[in-house]
Amino acid sequence: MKISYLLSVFVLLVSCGDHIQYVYKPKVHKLKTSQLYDSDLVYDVVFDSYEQNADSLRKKGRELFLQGADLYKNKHNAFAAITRFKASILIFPDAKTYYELGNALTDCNKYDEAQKAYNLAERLDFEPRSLISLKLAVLSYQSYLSNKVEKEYALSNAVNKLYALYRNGADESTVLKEKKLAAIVLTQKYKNMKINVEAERVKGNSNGLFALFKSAFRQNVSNLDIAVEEVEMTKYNQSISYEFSKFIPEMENTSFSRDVGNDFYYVGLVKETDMYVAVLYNAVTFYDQEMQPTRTMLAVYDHEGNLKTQKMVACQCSAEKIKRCSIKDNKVMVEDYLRVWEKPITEAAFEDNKVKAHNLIAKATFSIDDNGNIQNEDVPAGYNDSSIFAKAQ
Amino acid sequence: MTKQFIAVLAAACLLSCNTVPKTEVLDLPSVRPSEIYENNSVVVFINKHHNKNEKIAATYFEKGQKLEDENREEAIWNYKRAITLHPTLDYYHTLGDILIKDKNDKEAANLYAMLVSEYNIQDEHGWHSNHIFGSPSEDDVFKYLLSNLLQYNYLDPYELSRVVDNGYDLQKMKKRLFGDERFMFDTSGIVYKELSNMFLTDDEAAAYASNPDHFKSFISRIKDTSASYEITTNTVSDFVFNGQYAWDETGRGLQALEMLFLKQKQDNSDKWYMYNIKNTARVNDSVLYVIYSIDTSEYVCPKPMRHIDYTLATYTNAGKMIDAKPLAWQAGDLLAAAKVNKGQIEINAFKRSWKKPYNKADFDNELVSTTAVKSYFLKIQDDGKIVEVLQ
Repeated sequence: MKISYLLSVFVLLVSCGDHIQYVYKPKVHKLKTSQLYDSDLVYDVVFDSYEQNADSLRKKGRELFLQGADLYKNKHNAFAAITRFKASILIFPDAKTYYELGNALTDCNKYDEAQKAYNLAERLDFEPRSLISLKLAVLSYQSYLSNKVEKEYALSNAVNKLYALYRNGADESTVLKEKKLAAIVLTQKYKNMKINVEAERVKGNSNGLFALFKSAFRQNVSNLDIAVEEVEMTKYNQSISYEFSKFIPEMENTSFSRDVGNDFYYVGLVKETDMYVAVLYNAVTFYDQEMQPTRTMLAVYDHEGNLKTQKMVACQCSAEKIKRCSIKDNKVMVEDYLRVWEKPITEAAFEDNKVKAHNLIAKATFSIDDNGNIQNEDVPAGYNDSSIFAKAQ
Repeated sequence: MTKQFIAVLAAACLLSCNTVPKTEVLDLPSVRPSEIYENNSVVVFINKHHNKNEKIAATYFEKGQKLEDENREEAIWNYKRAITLHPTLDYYHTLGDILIKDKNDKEAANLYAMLVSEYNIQDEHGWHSNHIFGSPSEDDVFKYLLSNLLQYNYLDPYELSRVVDNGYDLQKMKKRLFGDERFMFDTSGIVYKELSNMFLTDDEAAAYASNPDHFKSFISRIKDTSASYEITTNTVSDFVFNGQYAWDETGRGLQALEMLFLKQKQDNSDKWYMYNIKNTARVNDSVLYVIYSIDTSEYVCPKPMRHIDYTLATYTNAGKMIDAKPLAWQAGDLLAAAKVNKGQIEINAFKRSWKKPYNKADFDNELVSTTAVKSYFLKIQDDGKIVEVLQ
């Protein structure tokens, strides 16, 4: 009998064990706060959400997003909004939430994180994409203002993004609305970009294009002195658009190869009369080395933009041969120098070498006459820099 | 007593047991959705899990098939899910087809790129390279090209090399691609011509200039067909430089292939030239001529220092060159202008003087004077020969 009772207790225990039904499902990816900007993982999470009733998740996420939007847009509390946006993303990563998160982070000066948020918005196909470009321009501009290394690169980046936007039809009012970007319109790089955009617009109209070209030489250089130490002209860094190559024929056969490149920069307006327009520009050849050759050219045009004449007035023609000039009104004084180095340039790198002296080897003065032709004013007989260089060396 | 006991025990069993079974979800291993086109990730998964998820993957796949007509987006999701669980060639093929149907050419191109590319993987025996599902079929290669073509309207020579590398016939592939209704091109347009040339074999490319159809096409695109053409001392240095990248790596670009019609290229097959085609006109029913210029200037030189040579070349209708003569030029001390009028040619040569000895790479130089040297006359004969004549 005792055995029967023991047996019955055992049967009860065994029979009443839980019945488990195993369901096999694909492993679903989950997002943690630390993985909010892991682009591939975010893609996986969005994909997997369809395994778990995406609409319901989307709805839950949306509620938090709206709370965040209310805090951000109505209550102007970007810090609090960030928390809600992130919570929303953890439930359901959504392009618009990432975009607004980027905006809130930008307002809180968290630019690096804002960039990640915008990148994710882009990956999740946020539309319109142009808004993301604009916001990324804000971040680049702020990076430029924060004086970090590669500051100029950051400004170029911001300007290039705006250039792309303008080419697609956006206008300046879009930029001016962005408080953290509006001041970019005061930079030379931005102004130069605007000229390029305008140049593309008027390129079929020759007179319009020349007027624009002329206006881009903003600085008045009717009284200019280029010192021997300044012949590289590095402070003139506003690049001339290739839309203007009609006026600078050298630009037409420019190299864009990997090893060597060329660029052209505005220097300034020398003189404008009823008969001509005289400007200075600088051409630089870039090699993968120091001591890039530069040539500063005086170019004289008629008012239709036809090149009447041009003359090299300054250069770093080589490490040893340089040319400088002084311009006063319509007079141009050019001086050729032999740059003497402490160590032979074939033996020492430029960074380990120093210029010992600049030896003047020739001097000539020219003038621009009333018709815009460059005339010899005071040019030594037999002025020919090849022969004088041969003597000097 | 025993009966009562059994009844009580049975009741106790029934009451004490929970009738609703517990559900426990077990995670299945899968390829990350973001990595289904990365053959290394997929091959690692296959090697580890083999057919483990085959059945459940099939349920997703079947669901995708049912949804294809009513909800393509969901069908695609189900096919992708099937792939994440059990990547097979059939599943990829089905997904690839629906992506192309959905005009998602970019993703389709990624999918077929995986099928036609080799993966590289390292194990204890070293590195291995192989195609994930064996050598790609001709159909896979075709769809790889098609999806790229639909995406960019262009094919990279590297993409075409997949055809030959996998042992398939380039011309057959061309015929199939160009015959595909999804691929609509203006067959008289330049894009079609460029694309068509990409399929040329090395021998066909080398013999490009001997094909009369190519010559006809070359001539048909020359806009200036006037019988009068003048090159002055001012215009001789004009040159449009946008053809400066004529030397493409494959030699299949139109600039590169049509260069074979030029005298200079025929004489120096290893050289590449920057050239502008300027003018063409007929001498008679069986002979025509072309005027072209070649630039050999230094980069960014001032315009007076450009080195430009004009050539007048005569051809048969089939494109065989009969004769060629220098027509005008500018290079250092040399300058010549020319007038062509109904086969009569006047050439005026000049000598230029420079501030210092001329070196084409030294731009710190200036033109001092230009002096006329001589004039002479040429004539294009009916047979296409260009001969000097006395005026």
